[in-house]
Amino acid sequence: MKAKSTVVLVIGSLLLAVFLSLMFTYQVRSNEIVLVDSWSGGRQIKYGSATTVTDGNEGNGTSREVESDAGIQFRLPWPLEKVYKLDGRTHVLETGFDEELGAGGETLLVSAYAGWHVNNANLFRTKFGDQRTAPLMMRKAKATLRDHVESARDEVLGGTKLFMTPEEMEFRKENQASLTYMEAEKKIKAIVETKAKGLGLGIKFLGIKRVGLPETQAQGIIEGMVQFKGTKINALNQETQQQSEAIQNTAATEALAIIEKAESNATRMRNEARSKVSEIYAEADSSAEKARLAITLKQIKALEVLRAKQIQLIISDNHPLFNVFDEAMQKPVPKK
Amino acid sequence: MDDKIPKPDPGLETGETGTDVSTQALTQALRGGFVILYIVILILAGYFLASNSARVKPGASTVVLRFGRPLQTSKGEVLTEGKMVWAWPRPIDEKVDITGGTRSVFSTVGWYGAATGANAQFNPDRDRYVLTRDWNILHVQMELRYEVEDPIRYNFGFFKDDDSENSRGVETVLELALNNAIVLTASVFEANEILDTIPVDVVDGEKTVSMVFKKAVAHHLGRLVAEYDLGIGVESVEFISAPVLPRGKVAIEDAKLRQKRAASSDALNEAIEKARTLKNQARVGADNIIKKAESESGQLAEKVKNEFAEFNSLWDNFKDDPEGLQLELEKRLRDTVRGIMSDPSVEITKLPAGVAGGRPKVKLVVRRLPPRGPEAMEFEGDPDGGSQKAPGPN
Repeated sequence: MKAKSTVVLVIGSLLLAVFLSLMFTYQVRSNEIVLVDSWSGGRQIKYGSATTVTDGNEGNGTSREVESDAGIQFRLPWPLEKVYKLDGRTHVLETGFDEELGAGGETLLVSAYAGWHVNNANLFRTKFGDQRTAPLMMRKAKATLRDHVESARDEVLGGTKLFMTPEEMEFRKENQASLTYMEAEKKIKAIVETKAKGLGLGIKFLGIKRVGLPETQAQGIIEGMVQFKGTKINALNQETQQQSEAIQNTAATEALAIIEKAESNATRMRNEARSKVSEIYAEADSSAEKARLAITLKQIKALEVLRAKQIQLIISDNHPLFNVFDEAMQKPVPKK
Repeated sequence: MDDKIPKPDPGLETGETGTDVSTQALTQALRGGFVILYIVILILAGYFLASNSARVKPGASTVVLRFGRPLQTSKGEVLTEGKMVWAWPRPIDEKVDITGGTRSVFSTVGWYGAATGANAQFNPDRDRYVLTRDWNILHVQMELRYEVEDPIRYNFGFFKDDDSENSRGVETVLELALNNAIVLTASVFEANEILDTIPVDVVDGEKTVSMVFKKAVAHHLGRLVAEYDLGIGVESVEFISAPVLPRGKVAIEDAKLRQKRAASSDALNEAIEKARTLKNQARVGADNIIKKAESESGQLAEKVKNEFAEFNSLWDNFKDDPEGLQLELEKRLRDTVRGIMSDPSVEITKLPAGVAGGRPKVKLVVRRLPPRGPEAMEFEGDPDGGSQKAPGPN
C-alpha cells in the first residue's frame, strides 16, 4: 500500500510540474522574438539572439544592441500575461528584373535584394496586427518592403547616369569610390531603411543582384563588339606589317653600322701599326751611323737573295757591285 | 494488506478451505502483478528519460537546444558524426541536425543558358551576362567555397522555409552576395582585362591594390560576407569555366582576332629572327675584319721586329764602337759575297769596262719579269726604295 502511494505521489507531482511549467513558463528560441503582454498593459520583449533593435512606436526611436534571451522564461498564467511569438531571423527579398530609366535617358534592367528583420517588435505588431499569425505578418511585411525597395530603386537609378562616355569611364576608373552601382546601393538602402523603420523593420543589407540591357540595346552592344573586333583585326594587320618592316630596317641599319665600325677599327689598327713601324724606322734613321748600319744590312739582305737560286750575274768591272765582290774577296777577315 | 489476508485454519480441512486457497492465490497473483507493473513503469520512465539521447548519424552534425537555447555555440562544440548526444526529453531538450563544414554556392547571373542547335547565338532573353566597364557583354560563372564558422548564426539566423523561395537560408544570401560581387566587379574591369587576366587598380580601404578580376571578386565578396554577418568564412572563389564572350558572331570574330594575333606574333618573331641573323652575320663579318686587321698589324710588327732584330743587336753591341761596327758590317758583307760566290748555282761573269770606262757592249736576251706585287710595307728611308731593279743592259 505504501509503494502504491509513492507511485501515485511521484506521478502526480510530475503531472503537476508539467502543468505548472505550462502555466508559468515559456521558451524563447534563438530564432524568435517573444512579446509578453501583461494584464496591466505593460509589455516585455524577449529576443532569441543578440541583435540591434529600435525602440519607439513610430520608427523614430533610437537603436540599441540587445543580448540573447533564449531559454526558459517565467510568466504569470493566462490571462494575466499573454505570450506572442514573432520570427526573429533575417529574411531575404528580391525585386523583379525590371527596366530602369537612367538620368541620361538610357535604360537598364536591374534586380536588387535586401536582407531584413524585425527590429521593433512593438511597432511591427502594431503595423501588421491585422494578420492572425506570425508567418502571415512576415509575409505581408515582405510584400510591403519589396514595394519600398522597388520604388527606391526606381528613384535612385532614375537620377543616376548609367551609361558613360569614354572620358567619363576613364574618370570612373581613376576614382573607384565613384562606382555607380555601389553608390546606388547605398542610396537605395538609405531610402528603404527610413521606410522600413516605420514598419518596425531593419535592413541588414541591400545590394544589386543583376544588371542587364533591353534586348535591342543588348543586340546593339553585340554588333558593336563585332565591329570593334573587325577593326582590331585590320589595325593588327597594318601594325604587324609596319613593325616587321621597322624591325628589318633597324637590323639592316645596325648591321651596316657594325661593319662600318669594324672597318673603322681595322683602319685605325692598321694605322697604329704603321705608325709604330714608322717610329721604328724614324728611330733607325735618327743618326748617320744608324742609317749606314741599316743600309748595309739591307744590302746584305738583298745579296742573300742571290743565294740558293739558279742565277747568272754579269757584272762589268766598273759597276758598283763588281767592287763589292772584288773588295770582299780582297780584304782580309777582320778580327774582333 | 498482508495483515488482512486470512490464514488457513488447520482445524478446518473441508468446506471453506477452497475459498481461502483461491483468495490466497489471487492475492499472490496481484502482488506479483504489481511488481511487474512497477518494473514496467520504471522501464518506461527510463526509456522516456533516455528517449532523446542517441548517437549522431553518419555525416550529420547536431546541437541540443535546452528550452530553445543552444548548448553548443561554437564550431568546435557541435556534436559530429559518431558522438553520443545526451539530452533530456522534449520539451526540455531538442536535438536539431544542423548544416556545417565546407560547402559551395554557384553564381546565377553571368552564364548563358542551354541552347538547342550546334550554332548557338547570344540571346539576351535566355542568356545571363555581366556588363563590363567598357560596356561589353561577358559570360562569367563562379563558385564560392566557404566554411561554416558560426553554426548557430548560419543555421538559426536566417529564414529557412521549405515552402518558400528562401528555403536555403544563408545559401540564398551567399548566392546573392556572389552575384553582387561579380556584377559590381565586372563594372570596374574592361572585357579584355577580365579575359586576359590583366590586373586593375581596385580601392581597398585607404589604399589602392592591383588585382585581377577573380581576386577582386573574392575581395568584394569577403567584404560583403563580413558586412552581412553570415557566420561563414570564404575559402575560395574560383571560375567554374573561364569567362567567355557571347556566343555567335562576337565569339567568331574574337577567334579570328586571336588567330590574327598569333599570326602577327609569328610574323614579328620571324622578322626578329631575320634581324638577329642579319646582325649576327654583320658581327661575324666585323670580327673577320678586325681579326684580319689585327693579323696584318701583327705580321707587320713581327716583320719589322725581325728586320730590326739584327739591327738592334748590332747597334747595341757597337753603338760606342763605330770602327768595330764598320768592320763587322764589312765582314758580314764579305761573308755574304763569298757565300754567293761559292754557291754552285750562282754564276758570275765579269766583263771589262767599255771604252773610256763605259759599259761593255753585250747583247743579252732577258725575259720579262713578272710584275712585282705590292709589299706590306716599304722600308722608309731606304735609298734603294726597297726594290732593286735588275741591272739593265749596258
